[in-house]
Amino acid sequence: MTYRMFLEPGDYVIGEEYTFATAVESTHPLKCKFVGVRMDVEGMLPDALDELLDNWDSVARGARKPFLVYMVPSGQNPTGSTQGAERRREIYRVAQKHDLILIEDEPYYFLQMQPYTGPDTPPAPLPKNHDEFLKSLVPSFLSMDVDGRVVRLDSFSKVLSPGTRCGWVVCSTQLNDRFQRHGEVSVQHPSGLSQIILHRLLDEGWGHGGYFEWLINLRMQYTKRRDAMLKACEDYLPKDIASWNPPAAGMFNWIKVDESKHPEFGKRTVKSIEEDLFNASVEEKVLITPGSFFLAETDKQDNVEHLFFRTTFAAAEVSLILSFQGTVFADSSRYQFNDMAEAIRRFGVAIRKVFMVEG
Amino acid sequence: MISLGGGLPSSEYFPFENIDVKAPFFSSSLEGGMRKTEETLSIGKNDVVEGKSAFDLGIAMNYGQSTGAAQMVRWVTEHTEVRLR
Repeated sequence: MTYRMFLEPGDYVIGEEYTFATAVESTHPLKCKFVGVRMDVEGMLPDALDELLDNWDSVARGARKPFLVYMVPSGQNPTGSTQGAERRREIYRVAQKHDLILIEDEPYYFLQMQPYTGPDTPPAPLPKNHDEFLKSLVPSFLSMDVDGRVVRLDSFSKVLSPGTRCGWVVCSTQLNDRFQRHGEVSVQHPSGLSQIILHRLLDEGWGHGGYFEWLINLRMQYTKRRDAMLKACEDYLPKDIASWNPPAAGMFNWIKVDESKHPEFGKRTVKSIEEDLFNASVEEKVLITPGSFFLAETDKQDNVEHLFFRTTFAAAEVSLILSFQGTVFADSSRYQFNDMAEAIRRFGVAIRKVFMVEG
Repeated sequence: MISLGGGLPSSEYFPFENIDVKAPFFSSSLEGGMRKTEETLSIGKNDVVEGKSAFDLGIAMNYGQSTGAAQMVRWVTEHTEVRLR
C-alpha cells in the first residue's frame, strides 16, 4: 500500500544492502527496484546514504532521485542489526537534507532483548517496571520526527501471532488520510474475526499493562533463545572462518563465513561456494538461508561478494527428545534448545567439509 | 432515523454466536520472575446491546471502517501514546 501511494514506475526504493526479500519483491509488479545502502552492525550507514543521494545520476540510473527509504531499524531481517538512538538521529538528519520519507518497518521492535552478557554468565536483570521496560527500548524514528516524514509500520505478527494479519500505521495526518483512502479501494478493512479477538484480549483482558507484561515475558524468552544459539555457535562453529555479532533484537543470527579461507577462493565464484555450503548443510540435515537471497539489488544475487547465512533462534521447540537414533546429539544437559544447538553443530560440520578443514 | 440506505446485512444470519478464547496472563513477581495464569475470554454476538462490552461479534463480523474498528483504533492509539510518552 505504501509503495503504491508513493511510487511511479521506474522509481527506486532505498533499502539496506541486505533486507526483507518480500519488501523488495513487492516493488517489482510496480516496475520499481531497490537500491541498497551499505550497512554495519547497526544497520544502514548514514554516510553511505548521503553519498548515494549526493551522487545520484538520474540519466545514468534512468530514474529520478529516490526519496522513499525502507528500513527495519530493530532486529533487521536478515542481519539481526539494530540501529542505536544516535544512528537513527544521523539517518534522520540525512533524510532532512535530501527530503526523504522514512518507512520504519518495526515488527521486531518489542523483540529487543536483554543485553548479551557473554557465554556462561548470569543474565542481566529484568526491567523493574513498565517505565523501565519502555525506557530500555531504542527510541522510534517517530519520536524524532519534526517534519512528518516518518511512516511507522507496527505489527502483531511477531509479538502475538502472524495469522492475525493485523498491524497499524503511525504517520502524519496528511499521509494517514491517503492510507485511509487507499484502504477503502484495496483491502477494505482488517479481518473482523482477528479484530474482535485482539480487542477482547488486549483491551478487556490484558489491558495496556498486561500487554507490557506479555512483552516482558517475550523478551525473557527470546533472550534465552538467543543466548542458547550464541553458545552453540561458540561451541560448534570454526571461529577462524565463521563470525557473528550478538543480535540485540529480533529473531535472527547472521553468520558471516570468510570466503577468503576457502582453498579455491579467487578461482571460483563466491556464489558457487555459497551453493556448496547450502547443499552440504542440507546433506547434514540442517536448513540455513543463504545471504544472497536477501540482497536488496536482486540483479547482484548471482555475483554475491561475501558469504552470509541467516539462522533463526525463534523457531526451535523446547527440547523434549534427548537423543535421536543414528545421530550424535549435542550434549542435552547443556542445552534447553537441543534442536537449535544440534542444527548449529551440523552447520559447523558442513563449513568444515566445504572449507576442507579438520574438525 | 431508520436507515434503509446502507448495505450491511443483519448479524442475525451470521452463524457465529460465541467465541471463547483461553489466553495466558503474565505478571511480574517481586522476585523478578514472571507469574502465569490462564483466563477464558468469552465473546458474544450481542455484547454491546447487552452492556457487556464495547465491541462484539455481531459488529466485528459485519462490514467495517477501512481504518479498522473504532474500538481497535482506540486501543492502538492509546498504546502508541503510552509508548512514545
